[in-house]
Amino acid sequence: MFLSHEVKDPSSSPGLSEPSGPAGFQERAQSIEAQQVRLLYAQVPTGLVASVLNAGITVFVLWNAVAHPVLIGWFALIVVVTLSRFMLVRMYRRAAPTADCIHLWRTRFIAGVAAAGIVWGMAGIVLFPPESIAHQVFLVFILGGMAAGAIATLSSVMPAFLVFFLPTLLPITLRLLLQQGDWVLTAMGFLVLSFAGVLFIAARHLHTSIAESLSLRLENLDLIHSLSVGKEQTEHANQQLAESNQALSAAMTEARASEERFRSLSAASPIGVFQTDAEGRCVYTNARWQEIAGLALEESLGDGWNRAIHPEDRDGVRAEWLTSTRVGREFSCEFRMLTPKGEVRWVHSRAAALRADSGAPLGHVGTVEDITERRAVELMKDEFVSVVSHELRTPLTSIHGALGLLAGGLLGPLPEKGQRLLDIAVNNTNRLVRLVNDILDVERMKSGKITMQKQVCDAAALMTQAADEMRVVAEKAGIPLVISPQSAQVWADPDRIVQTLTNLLSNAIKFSLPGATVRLSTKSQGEQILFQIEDQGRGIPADKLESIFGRFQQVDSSDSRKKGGTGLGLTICRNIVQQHGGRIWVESTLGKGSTFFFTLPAPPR
Amino acid sequence: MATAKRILVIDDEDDIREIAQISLEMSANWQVVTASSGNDGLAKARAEQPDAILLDVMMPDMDGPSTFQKLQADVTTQHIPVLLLTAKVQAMDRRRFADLGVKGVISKPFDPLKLANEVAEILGWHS
Repeated sequence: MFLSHEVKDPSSSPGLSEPSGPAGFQERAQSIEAQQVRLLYAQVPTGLVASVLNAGITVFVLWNAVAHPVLIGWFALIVVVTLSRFMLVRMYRRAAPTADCIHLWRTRFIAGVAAAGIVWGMAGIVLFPPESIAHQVFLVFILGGMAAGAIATLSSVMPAFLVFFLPTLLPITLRLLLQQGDWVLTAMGFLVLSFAGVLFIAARHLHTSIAESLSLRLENLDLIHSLSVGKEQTEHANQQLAESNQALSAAMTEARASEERFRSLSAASPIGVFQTDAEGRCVYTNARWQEIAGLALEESLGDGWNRAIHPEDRDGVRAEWLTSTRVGREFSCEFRMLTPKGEVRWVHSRAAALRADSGAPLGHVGTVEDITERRAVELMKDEFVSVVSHELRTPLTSIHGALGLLAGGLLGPLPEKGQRLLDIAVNNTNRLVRLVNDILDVERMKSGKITMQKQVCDAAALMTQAADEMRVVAEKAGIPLVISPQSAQVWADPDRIVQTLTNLLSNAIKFSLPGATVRLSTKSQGEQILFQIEDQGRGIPADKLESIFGRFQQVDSSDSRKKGGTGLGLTICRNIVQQHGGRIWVESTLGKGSTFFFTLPAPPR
Repeated sequence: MATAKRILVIDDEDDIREIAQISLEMSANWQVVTASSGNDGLAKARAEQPDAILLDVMMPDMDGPSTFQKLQADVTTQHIPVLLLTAKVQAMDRRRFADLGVKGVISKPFDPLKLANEVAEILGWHS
């Protein structure tokens, strides 16, 4: 029963765990002992019945040979011991003890068996009929039979067998051997002794067999358990494998769809696409790339892309490629491609590194855009701007000069209205000059024609120079100009930063009422220097804080007329600051004033 | 203001030449000689030996820098200080002109009332 229970619930029995190390073997021994004790208790009813039955037969046979009170007293003892053992069995069954407390029940059982053995052994003394040889033989037969029967019921636990076996046979054996003068009894004593020896050997064999059998059974159960666990694990692994297969299948389907999507996108792309391996050899180009380069797919692979670059640009492109690869930045370069037919095409190529999860380089993926037409338009525009600039400036110089000479009174005094009209003409000529200058600046910056001549500069010197340039204008407007020159080194083009500062100061003065203060200061911010131009003017609405940096975007569209600005000053400032790697922005409160900020980098170490 | 000086203005634009002449003559009482091309300017520089030359940058045939180089190459004119008049306002251009060896650069359009003052200041004629 316990075993079957243990099979259903392996965790409840320590005997079913895999023995590993001393603790495992101890558990296994404890489990075998538990099974042996359970076997004892299981066979008790048979033994009790046999005991009472044999005791009754003994009393009946010896009724006329032994004194009745002795017989009745002995039988009563048998009954008491039997009942006690019966009660013990009932208690045991109710307790249903687990393996770890089985030892107590084993001890109790041995005590009960010992009591039974003693009472049966007493029979060899107190019920021995000295006069009747037939009754003596009967008594020897009964006690021998009880001892023999104990092999079947008690040999699973040798101490239990011995505490019954020895007390049962020892008294009668001694009685027979010590009976002097009667050789028949002495012979019977030796017979009992040899019989006891045989019984003991048989009991030992049976005990060993039972122990081995139980051990084997437990091992089988362990094996079954292991197989069961293994089966569960295998089923679980199979299930996981099936799920993995399903996920893999879905991923492959997705990958195929993705690849198909990429192929169709790449094939239809208006931009050339290419991929290289880690050594820079081309492994893929799309149809557009081949069309731009005038090469077939096979010709474009490997080193083909290098041959497609115009020979005059090859070294430059190679240098830029190596630099961007070395410093780990995106490759971006405009150069010419020369087709096998001799056609020259301007392209803009960009490429980014492909890396494995480990960071190891896998190659590059990039694009090539045909900008031949755009370059032509830009060239035309540049020429146009240059020509317009010069052609506008020449008559402007004449107009400006002529009006200036007249307005300056060098040719004599003019009527008041005439003087006023000349002043208007001079002011607007000045504005036109500024506008032409600013347009030219913006266009050149946009096309990258202006490069910043960066050098180490002192922020305080730049501020002082800008403030000096604006001092006259500020005094004329009644605006105190307060500068807090703080010596800090910046990495900048001094002319362009002074241009930025004078632009911002000019705005601050223009939009302040007389008496309001304009402040210029700097602050060190780690690797950057922050410039601040603060005014107490009318302020800028929140929705215009960003847009005023756009071309011809002013807070009020009439500002350019009223304040004489061109609407390009902040655009130029933003371009200059951005080309220095800095940032420009404004914070403002309507009616209280605005503060323009811009940052410049500290010199590289 | 400095004492009377002789100035040679070389510019292909008649109007600008005239305005510069009027400006310098009337505001500073300087004597002004004009030339309408680089070659004309070279000849007048040799002949007139002016105290300074105002030389336009963008001219047909021979531009300002080329004219300047010829002036420098001629022992009779190489001592005469030259100032460039230019519509190019880029700092880079200014630096390039300064590297040639000119004494200064005056932007177009110039202020006719301040032109003489500006020339005198660059050439240190105030002291």
